[in-house]
Amino acid sequence: MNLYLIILFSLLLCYLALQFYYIHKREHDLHRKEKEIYTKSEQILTNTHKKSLKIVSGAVNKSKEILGQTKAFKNSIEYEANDVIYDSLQKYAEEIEKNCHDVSTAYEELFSQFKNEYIEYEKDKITKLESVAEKEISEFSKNIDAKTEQFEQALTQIVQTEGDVVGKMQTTAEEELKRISETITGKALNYELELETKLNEKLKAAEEEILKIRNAIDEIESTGEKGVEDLKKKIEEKTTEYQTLLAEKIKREIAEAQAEAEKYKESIAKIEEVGRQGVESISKIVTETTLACQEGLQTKINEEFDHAKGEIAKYKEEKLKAIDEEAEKIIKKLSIELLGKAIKIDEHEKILLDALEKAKKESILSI
Amino acid sequence: MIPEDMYKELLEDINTTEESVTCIHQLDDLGNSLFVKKTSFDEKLDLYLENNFRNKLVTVIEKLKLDVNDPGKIEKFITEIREKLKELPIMRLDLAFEPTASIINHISEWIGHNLEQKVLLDINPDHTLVAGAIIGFNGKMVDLTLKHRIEKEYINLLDLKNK
Repeated sequence: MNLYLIILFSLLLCYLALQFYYIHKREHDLHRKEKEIYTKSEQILTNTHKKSLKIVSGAVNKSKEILGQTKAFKNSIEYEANDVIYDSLQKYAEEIEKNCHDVSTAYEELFSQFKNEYIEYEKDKITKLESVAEKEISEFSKNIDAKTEQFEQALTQIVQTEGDVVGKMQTTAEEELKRISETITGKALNYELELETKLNEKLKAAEEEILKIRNAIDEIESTGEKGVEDLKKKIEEKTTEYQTLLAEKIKREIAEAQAEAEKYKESIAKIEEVGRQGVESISKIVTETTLACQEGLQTKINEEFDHAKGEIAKYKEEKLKAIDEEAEKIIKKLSIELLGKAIKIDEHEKILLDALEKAKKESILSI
Repeated sequence: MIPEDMYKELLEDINTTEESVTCIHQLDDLGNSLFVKKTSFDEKLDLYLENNFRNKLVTVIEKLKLDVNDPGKIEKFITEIREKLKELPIMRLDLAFEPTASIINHISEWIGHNLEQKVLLDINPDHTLVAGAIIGFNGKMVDLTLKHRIEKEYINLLDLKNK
């Protein structure tokens, strides 16, 4: 049994050894084949590379040749094209120049026409404006005149009223003075009359007394001449004395009456003076007030007139400015509309191309 | 990447910003419809694009040998055109008149010759300008209108009058 197992084990070992030998041999063969293939592929690659290099260099040479031919062809075409473009451009430029000149001439004509029309229009406007302004000024002046007249009338009325008042006051004062002087004169006359009556009465009484004395004298004469003579003397003395006293009394009373009359006259003169002064001061006040009123009115009228003048000037200036602005707007609008309509579409195109040329020259179109 | 000469050919008739916007909208519509399989590419072109532009687009597609049945590639192509249109420089022109298509072509030709590049025109008519144009380009602006000239002359006239 053991022998059997040993033999079996030996056989197995032999088999494994054989298998190992075969595997090793196959691996060796494969390695060799791989080496051969690698060598062959290297050769093939080298050959291919050489061939491709040849092809590429040939292609490059061919391309260079074609490129040279193309360049030559392109240059010849460019020369021809440049000639053609240059000719056409020159013609085009000439045409544009001509058209631009025409357009410019037309524009200049239009502009001069527009300028003349504008000047005419402006003149016309100014004339119209002046006439309007003149009308307005004349209306305003009329208004001012009317107002001034009204003021003057009012002033005259005030002055008249004041004059009437002053006249009335003067008249009243004069009447009052007259009345006072009449009263005073009447009183003085009455007093003089009273004095005269009293004097006459006293004279009458004195005459009666004298008459009585004479009668008594006549009686005494008849009784005795001597005694008469003494008595006569005494009587004469007494009479003279009495007459003197009476005359003095009368003189004194007359002087008193005269002094009283003088006092009255003085008081009348004073009253007259006071009245006169009052009237004078009243008329002075009235005159001053009237003058002040007149001056105030005149100042106010002047101020109003200046204000009105200023307002007219301002209004005129504003109106002129507004008309100017309006005229400017109208002219600008009209000129733009007229010029826009006057230009044809082909002229528009030419002007546009001209503008592009100008923009190019001004380096607007550079990148 | 579309070559420059093909762009030139394709965008030859697009001169204004308005036309550019319209074209971008049409390309957007076409781009949105590319993945719809019910209609053919030709039908989509007929449906969304203006005839002249459609023909130019077909020519360019043929030249570029693009597969019209590959919506991904066509979409990329359309996006490129769209971006190119958006990148184009714009020149603002305030004009005193409504320019005709022929005048717009003349202006574009002039710009093509003189600036050597494609420029879109943003045209704004303003009748008060009388004639000429206000030109705005690349952040610069110049008033070359007759109105401007008249105003200058008018100011001179007023100065003379005031003197």
